[in-house]
Parts: sequence; structure tokens; C-alpha cells
Amino acid sequence: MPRLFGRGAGFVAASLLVCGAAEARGYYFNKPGVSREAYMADVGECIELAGGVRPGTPYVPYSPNLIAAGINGFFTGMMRSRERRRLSNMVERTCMADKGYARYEVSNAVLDEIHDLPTLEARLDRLFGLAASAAPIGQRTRE
Amino acid sequence: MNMLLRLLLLMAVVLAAPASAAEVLRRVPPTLDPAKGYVLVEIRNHDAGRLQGSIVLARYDPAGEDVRGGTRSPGSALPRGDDVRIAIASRALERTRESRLYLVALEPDIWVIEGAGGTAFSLGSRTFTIAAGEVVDLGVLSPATDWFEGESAPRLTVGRVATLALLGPFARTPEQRPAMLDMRERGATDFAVPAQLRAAIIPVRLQPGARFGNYLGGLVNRIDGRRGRPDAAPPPVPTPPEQSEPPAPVSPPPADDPS
Repeated sequence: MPRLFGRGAGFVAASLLVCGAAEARGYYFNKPGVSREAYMADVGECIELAGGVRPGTPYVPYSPNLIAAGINGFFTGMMRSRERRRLSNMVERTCMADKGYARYEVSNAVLDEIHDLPTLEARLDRLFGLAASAAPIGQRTRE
Repeated sequence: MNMLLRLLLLMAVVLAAPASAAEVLRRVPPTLDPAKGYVLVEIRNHDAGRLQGSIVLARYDPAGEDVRGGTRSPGSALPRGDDVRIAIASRALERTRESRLYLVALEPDIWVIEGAGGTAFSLGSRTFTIAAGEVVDLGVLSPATDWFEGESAPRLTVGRVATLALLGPFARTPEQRPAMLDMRERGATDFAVPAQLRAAIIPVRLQPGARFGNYLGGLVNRIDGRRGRPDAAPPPVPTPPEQSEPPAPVSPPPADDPS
């Protein structure tokens, strides 16, 4: 059974979903009428699955030069991080779609508005309002 | 001398360690081990192309709803030395360009089809129980990419090849899509059951609804892909796509919000 995350962890998870878009815009998941508990449980399970992602290590040619090896390592790490983010996003999106959530893209202004709310509770309320709204804002996009 | 004896003793202990939980057999053994269960399975190429198909089987704990020893079911972990999963990707009994037939010796237990083509079927897979001395026919499995609606494999154009050659790993690559598994019973056009197994083989009894963690490190999906989703799944994206809306104020929580 999916683990129910704590309130704080749930918010972090939900924030990651909103801000984790690889592109310039953010997104959120919407399922009209979903209860807060069910939403948190769904997000928690999807985050757990995304945490299992382990991207492969790209091939890096050997170099005896310390500077070249350092540069290689830097770019390899960068590419590996990018791949991990891509896979994690894909896992979250597939998992949430499987649970009946639709994905909506929103502009950065909406994301900023949420982040600028004064308290954690207010941010969580606003986010859950988006997730459960019967009239979601933004552009519906495929999972 | 004493050191050498100790080393030899250690090697003997290591070699005498219990055999792994599962093994893909290159040929049908003259006598089947009565303590093992056997699975016969045909795996077709991925997307019916040239890429060889593969699947992963894992031991399952239905009470903990996870692979044995997984994060949701740590109490069901196997003793050290016993493999919890086996990848079926090589050592085929028979092969053609499109398909391969495998015989796998398994420990009697509940097994789950954990994944195929780098995707874990964590969102919903099937289990089967195998008892000692049983020979089970898992049928014909065809791994395939679970494309989005209206999507198909990207074409490898000259431009894309040139971009990949010039930019290497920095080139923008299309997003990966999860795999799914098409399952069906063995038919007349498939590999025949080996003569030594015909008397003993029985069809598999699959149980749906197995869920577990993502231990294969890649994408996740249902074993049946999008078509296997419950009714709660979102409707497909309308085509043509909706026009972008200008940023709108965030709607407040609904009135019946339990918070």
C-alpha cells in the first residue's frame, strides 16, 4: 500500500511536481473532487516510484590529464543529473496519469504566486485547490 | 600452508553456497529437479523489430504488496545468496530472428512479472504461483513500447544522425516511453513445447493486480500499458490541442475542501 507522507513531506513532494517541469513552464496534476488524503497518498506513491530511478553512467574516455579528467567528470555528472530528472519526471507523470490525474501546464506567474504565499499552509491549500478544482486553469497537456 | 588450507576451505564454502533462486537453462535437463519449478516462456522481439525482447521475474510477497525484501516488505527478504529476481534475456532453448524460447528453473514461490524492456510494471502486473515439480507454460510474451495516443517511433532522419554525430551526448533526444507486455497463449505458429516437457506442462494461472516498488531503475507502467488503466484514468487530450490560456488567477480550494 502507498505510504502516507507527512504534511511537510507531502508539500515538498507536491512542490516538486509543480516546479519539476523540464521546460520553462510548470505543471500540476488535477483530478476534480479528489480528497486531500487521496491526493497526498497518490503523490507519495509516485514520488516513491520516481525515487527508484537510476540512470546509467555515460561512457567517458579515460584521460591521464587531471584537468581533462575533471572536465569529463563535470560534464558526465551534468548529463547523468539531466537523465535522472527526465526519468523521474516521466515516472511521476505516468504514475499520476495512471491514477486518473490530468496534467495542466501553467505559466511561471502562477507558480511564482504560489511560492510567494506567506505560509506553508496557504501554499498547500492553494496547491490542493488546483489539484481538486473542477475548473482547472492552464493548458491541458498529455501525460 | 595453513593459509593455503584456509583459502581452499573458504573457496569450498563459497562454491557450496546454495544455488541461486532461479536459472535460465540452455537445454532441457534429462531429469527435472523435483525441488524446483520450471517455466517455459517464448519472448518475441521488442516492438516486433530487431531488438531482442527480455523480461524480469521476481519473487513476490502478496501480503506486503512488494517484491520480497523491498522497501514495503522488508520482512520477506530472502536469505543471503538467494536471488530475488532473474532476467530472462539470454541462453535460449530455441531461437529465430523474431522470437526466443526459454526454460527457467525457479524456486517454488509466488513470482511476479516485474518488468520488460527496462520498464518496471510497478503500477500493475501479474503474479503466478509455482510449486515444486511443476512445469508451467507462461505463453508468448511480446514487449512493446507504450506510445502516447497518436504517437509512433521517431524516424531516424539524416538530420538527426548528423546532430547526434556532432553533439554526441549533448544532442536533444526524444523522451523515453515506457514499455508494456502483450501476453497470449501459445499457438500453432509459435515454438512447440519440447517433447520432454509435453506430459508435465500446465498452462499458467495468472493473478492480476500486483503492485510493487521501482527496483529496475527505469520507467514504470502497467503490464498492459495505458489500455489496462482503470476507468479513473484521464480522458485523452483533445485534438487539436487547446489554445494556450493566459495566466489566470489560481482558483481557491473548493468549498467542500476537507482542509
